[in-house]
Amino acid sequence: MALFLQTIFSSLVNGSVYALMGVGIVLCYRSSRIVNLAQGETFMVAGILTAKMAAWGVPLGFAGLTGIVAATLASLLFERVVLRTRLSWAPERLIIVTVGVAFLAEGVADRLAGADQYSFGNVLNGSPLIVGGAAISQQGVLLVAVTLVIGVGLVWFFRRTLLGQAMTASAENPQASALLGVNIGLMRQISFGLAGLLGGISAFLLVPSATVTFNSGLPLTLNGFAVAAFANMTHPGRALAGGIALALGEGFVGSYLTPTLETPLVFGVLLVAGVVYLARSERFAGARRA
Amino acid sequence: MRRPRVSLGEAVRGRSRLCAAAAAVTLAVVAAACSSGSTASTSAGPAGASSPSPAVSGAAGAGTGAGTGGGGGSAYEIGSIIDLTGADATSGAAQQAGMGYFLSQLNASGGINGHQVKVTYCDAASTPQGAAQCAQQFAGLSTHLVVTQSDDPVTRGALPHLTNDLVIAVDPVLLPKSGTNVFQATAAGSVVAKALVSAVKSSGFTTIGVLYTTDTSGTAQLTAAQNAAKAAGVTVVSQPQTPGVTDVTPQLLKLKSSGAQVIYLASIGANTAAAVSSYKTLGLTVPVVTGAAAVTNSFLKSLPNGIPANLYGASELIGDTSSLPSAQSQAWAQYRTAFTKFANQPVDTQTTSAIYVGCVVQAALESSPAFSVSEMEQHLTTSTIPCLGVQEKYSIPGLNVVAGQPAAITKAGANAADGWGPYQGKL
Repeated sequence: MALFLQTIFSSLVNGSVYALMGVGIVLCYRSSRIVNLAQGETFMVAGILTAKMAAWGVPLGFAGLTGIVAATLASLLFERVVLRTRLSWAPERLIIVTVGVAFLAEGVADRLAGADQYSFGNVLNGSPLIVGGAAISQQGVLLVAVTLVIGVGLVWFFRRTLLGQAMTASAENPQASALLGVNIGLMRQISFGLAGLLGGISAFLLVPSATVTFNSGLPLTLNGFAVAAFANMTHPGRALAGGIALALGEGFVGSYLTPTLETPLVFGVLLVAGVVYLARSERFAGARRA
Repeated sequence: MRRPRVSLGEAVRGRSRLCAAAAAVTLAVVAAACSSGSTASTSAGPAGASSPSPAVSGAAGAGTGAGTGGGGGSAYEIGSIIDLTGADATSGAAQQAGMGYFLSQLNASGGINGHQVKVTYCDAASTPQGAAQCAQQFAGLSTHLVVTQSDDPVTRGALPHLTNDLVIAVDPVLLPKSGTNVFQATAAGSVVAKALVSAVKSSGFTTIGVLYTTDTSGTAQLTAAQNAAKAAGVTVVSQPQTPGVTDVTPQLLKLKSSGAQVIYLASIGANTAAAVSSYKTLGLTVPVVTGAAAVTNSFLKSLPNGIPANLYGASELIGDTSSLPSAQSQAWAQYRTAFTKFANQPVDTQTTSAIYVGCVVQAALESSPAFSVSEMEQHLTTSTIPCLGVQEKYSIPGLNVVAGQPAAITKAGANAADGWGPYQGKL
């Protein structure tokens, strides 16, 4: 029983990270049809900046807020400077551009911050929550709770608010939306800003237990991409559910079979999902069947 | 109120200016980021050395075949391939500190054959390709001696380009064969594993739980632990840890339920930090031992939520020296004190491995004033090498891997600033 519950706790924590990254990639894709492989760098920017400020004695809350704002601004800058003038490019070229930006961000961070592992204190420092012999830290509970709130909040936002509906419309049919007066450029900016915000929040909650280095971004992006692809790059809510589901699958495979099958599981699911979607002539992960 | 319309020409000009500014900024940043790839020459004079006594070599004037004559007073230059940027830059910085300290002590006591020794560093940027480029740059060194202060697989990238030189390597899993021009100056992983098993047995435990990452480093550490445990009659239970996963509480729980009385973290970097974090989440109190790669100051600094009270490290590079003969114990004590004063940081795995490299370099250069690679190789394989009070030898059959380095358990201090210290007793 303890192992079963511990696996659930562990999977929820790991899945929250996947979900936040996946939702960020989905938001960027919806607004620009670009698979943003630089999304993980928002995590890295926020994590390192927060850690540096905390080490300088800045109160953690203010340091965290600064990191989150920096991640948001970085994402907005990326959209404004790199992507906006290249939206007419083929998607596959733009993916390469995002990869290039990710490597550039890594290089700059390496130069400025060095290769040390950085971390900072937990937001919540109390005793872990013990249930049936399994434990989850208070920070872990916070991470899962925030992820769920963000997921539910985004679903409500896109369905119930005028701005959210405008963003959905511009994602589904930009030309028609523009004709109806929707400012497509602004919708895209908001999407990228939200993605940066999510990257910053995930860093603030996860770095205390996982640390961050200059090259932490890309591996997280790959996990997020798997989740976003699973959600067919369209629905943030589906990405949230997909992230948690994927992590639960990984967790139970790891606990009851072997952790060496976790990665094959992730890519196996991706493969199956891709075959199913493409067989139906639906778009999958930004691609369509020829 | 409507915004005034902008003419097409103004829009294009505005966009062009923005693009030009962004391109200029990007180029500047890239130039800054890439400028670390150049060779940096460092002359290792006795700067910063407060204690010129030869604290590093086993004894002053030790008979290791020192030659006579020299290069007319000019400095001996060796090359160092080291990671000053990239993923392993933290290790590189510690390596550089260790080598700097060693050379300061060496040059303060007269150098080699009357010549000062200096090292030219080349940044491999933590990539095999970078190491290969550095190796090509060192092709014309008069001493034909290059040290590689990087880990696997970076070091392996350099070796094909150094076939005409003597190579002294820090990489603990390189395991170069006898008869080659490559000599590993750090002990094989089995030495660490034996120290771990010995500590486990002397503490009255019978089962080690190994949490290992499913990569080269993790599986190598697991294999070494299993072999050492089998020989000592200790049981090993293991759980794999997927690299990059942030929560490994189920794996630790499984180890505990399998009867593990000590947990050994066969991983490096962020994976070890994640394992320690998960260990704290579960509230475990069994001793937890990290591998040698985590026995560094930077690892302790990356644990901001407190260092577990039962955190130990198994390292062949910092050990409990109280049980060693007094000359060795004294050499270690002198090294700890002098290095801390020189570098303003405690000793750790990386700094000490650089010292061991330095000892082998010294022995090689002293043996051949004409810088004959074959002479240096011959000397290393047949002579003892004094270092930190120990007489090392390349005596392992079939391998150019040093033997004789002490290995023991070390304990993490209460704070990161305390570093790793000698520890004696039960886990």
